[in-house]
Amino acid sequence: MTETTHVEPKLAPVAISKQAVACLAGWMIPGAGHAVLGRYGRALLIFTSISLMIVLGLAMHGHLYAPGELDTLFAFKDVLSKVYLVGQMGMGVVHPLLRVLKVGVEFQYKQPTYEYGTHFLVVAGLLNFLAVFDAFDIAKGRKA
Amino acid sequence: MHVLVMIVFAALVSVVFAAITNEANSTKTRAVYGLKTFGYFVGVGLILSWVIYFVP
Repeated sequence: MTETTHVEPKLAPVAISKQAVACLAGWMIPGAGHAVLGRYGRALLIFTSISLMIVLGLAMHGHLYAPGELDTLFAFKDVLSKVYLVGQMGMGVVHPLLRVLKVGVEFQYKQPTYEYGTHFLVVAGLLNFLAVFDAFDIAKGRKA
Repeated sequence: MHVLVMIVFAALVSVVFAAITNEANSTKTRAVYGLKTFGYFVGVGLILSWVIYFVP
């Protein structure tokens, strides 16, 4: 009888500079952190899914929050908008870039798909935060 | 429209969850995990929508 042995991949942390580059790249461009660490397949999946989520969110008239449009940024007011802003900041450079290009800036709350679109944009950012944490774990040698 | 958006949302989130999970160590187990997550998303969404339907 032949036995098949499963070989566990050897886990080892990469240099601290590469850990920082992977996390920063992953935050700025979805999936880039995994690409830096050589996980190209996963990088492509993360990039495609999060990008598609952002495109669909904007197509559904979602709103991109910005710190400037919140009057009382550090007060306990309009908390939900601040939570949304933190979530959307996970998109990295895409968020300010879209704001500069005046995409998703207008409040189109009368559109029937406005809520869906905004939530797609928030979840896209939150998923990218998770992807950055995953890239950090891989860089630390905790995961394959 | 609502169901379609929910299915698209579930599919995209499941792909990312499958990509970053530590419960899978091969492409096949990763794909199975993604499909299971997608099923849970859609299944729980449909169940909750029926529960809410009967709430006055």
